[in-house]
Amino acid sequence: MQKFRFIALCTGPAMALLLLLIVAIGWALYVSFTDFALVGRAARDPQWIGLRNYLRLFRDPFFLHSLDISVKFTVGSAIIGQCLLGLLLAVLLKRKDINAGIKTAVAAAVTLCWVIPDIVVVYVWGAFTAPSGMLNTILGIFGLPPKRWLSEFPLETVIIANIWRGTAFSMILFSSALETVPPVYYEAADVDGASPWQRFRYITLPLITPTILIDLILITLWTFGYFTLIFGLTGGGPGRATEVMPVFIYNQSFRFYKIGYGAALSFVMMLIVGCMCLIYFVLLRKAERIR
Amino acid sequence: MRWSALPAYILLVLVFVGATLPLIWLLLASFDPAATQATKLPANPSLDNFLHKAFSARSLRWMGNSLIIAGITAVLSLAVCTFAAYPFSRESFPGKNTILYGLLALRVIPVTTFMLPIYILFAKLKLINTYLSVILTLTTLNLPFALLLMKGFYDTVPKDFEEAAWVDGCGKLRAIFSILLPQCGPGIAVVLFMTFMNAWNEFMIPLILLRKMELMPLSVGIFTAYGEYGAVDYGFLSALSLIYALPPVLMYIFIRRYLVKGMAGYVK
Repeated sequence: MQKFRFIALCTGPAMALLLLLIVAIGWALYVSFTDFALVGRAARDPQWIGLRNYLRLFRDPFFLHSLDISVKFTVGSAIIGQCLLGLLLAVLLKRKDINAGIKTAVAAAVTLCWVIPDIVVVYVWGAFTAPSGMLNTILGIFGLPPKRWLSEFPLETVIIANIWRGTAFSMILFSSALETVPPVYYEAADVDGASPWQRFRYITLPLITPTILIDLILITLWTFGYFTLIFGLTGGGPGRATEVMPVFIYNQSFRFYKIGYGAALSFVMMLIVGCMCLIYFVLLRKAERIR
Repeated sequence: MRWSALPAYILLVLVFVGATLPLIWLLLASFDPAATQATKLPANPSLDNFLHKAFSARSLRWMGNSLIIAGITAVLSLAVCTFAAYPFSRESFPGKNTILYGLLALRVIPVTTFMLPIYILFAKLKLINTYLSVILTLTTLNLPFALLLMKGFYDTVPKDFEEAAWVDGCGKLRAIFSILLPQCGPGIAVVLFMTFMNAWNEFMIPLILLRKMELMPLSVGIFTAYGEYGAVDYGFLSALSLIYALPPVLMYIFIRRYLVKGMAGYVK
């Protein structure tokens, strides 16, 4: 009995904080069944409207549009960009025939982009892609016409900006996974006269596959829920060209003040993210079994 | 240099240039009192942006707010997880694994998922526009990471030390302080630094919870000043952004070793 009192005493504050989050989620669940808003009659006296927020959601073309944009943003910047580039960098940084100083400089530069706060990334990329910004200056040197990147190619621009910002995570994760590959495997491959591609394909890749899968699911989760970069650079625009789901929820709730609808949207997002979380757990279990 | 390494060199140089180019503008603009979005060497380079503008009353206020929010969040997170991690490392009790899985899930779920629930809760509690709402939220969101990390550090300390202390009549709580914690110095440092850094960098939570200019931390302040209509003062904002980015960069250099280990925890 005394043991449990001790445990309760130790974990009490932490559990209280977690309870706060659970209460918040519960309250939001209730709100998602009402027409609660920040202004007007619905702010003073919200009405119970049952499932109407949820039903509306599937008829809302802008919701489906935001899902579509989210998928494009996630596939482009996380799965194709960050993961592939991160893997490529991790492999290159491990090669012995490359100058150590260059390797350190590249790793430091890529990591720096990841460590600086998100809002600084927004500010820097806003200027970099501005009509008078550096990107157009550089293209001008090659005789290419200037573009208004955030208006003409908004989604492409935020995808590239997110690759710039986030590749370091995958790079670092893969680098530490590569450290665990026993060097004798490569030595044996050298004896057999394997090409660099064969070494990668038949030794490196199979051994770090669990890490790649976990990296993929983690950055998919985070990119799907990523808010600051797009909100800061475009606010979801121009029009709705970059309105990913978190930005859509923010705009519905805090620009159009439809809190009830925003809450319903949050629960749909929770469902999607929850499913990804389950995949993560399954992968973790499998990775443990392989080791 | 072997010729076979040439493609690798070209790629690495391209990545390096691509990574640093956008930042070069930031650096140049911060020394240029007449900075624009265009990249140019400052005509009259000066430290004016740093010495005067970046420390104006308004931005000092934002810095103070950031320090208060991040500082209290870090200390509170450490205090909470120091105790909470102990039973998870040393005792067995019903529901332990469920809670650990819950924490693991909470650690990887993006904050935006909880944007509305958190806003609704603090709106109902009438705590919008208070530091308390932001600090409680950030502490809760940092908790899974901090608790799991601290548990990892506790797990590496053999139980024998505490048991010896108990035999000598030392209470359990006191044993945490005088036996366990002194052996977890790096853990304490990493928890403090990481939670500080997360809270310092956070943008969305203060954006929705703090709607008054004088309460804003640096992240929201810089964003607001950037979005202001009319002439944006790029020199001032660049200098302020550099100052704002400095603590996370320094902390990263300081705890890099442990951070990489902590990231491996996502895989293990």
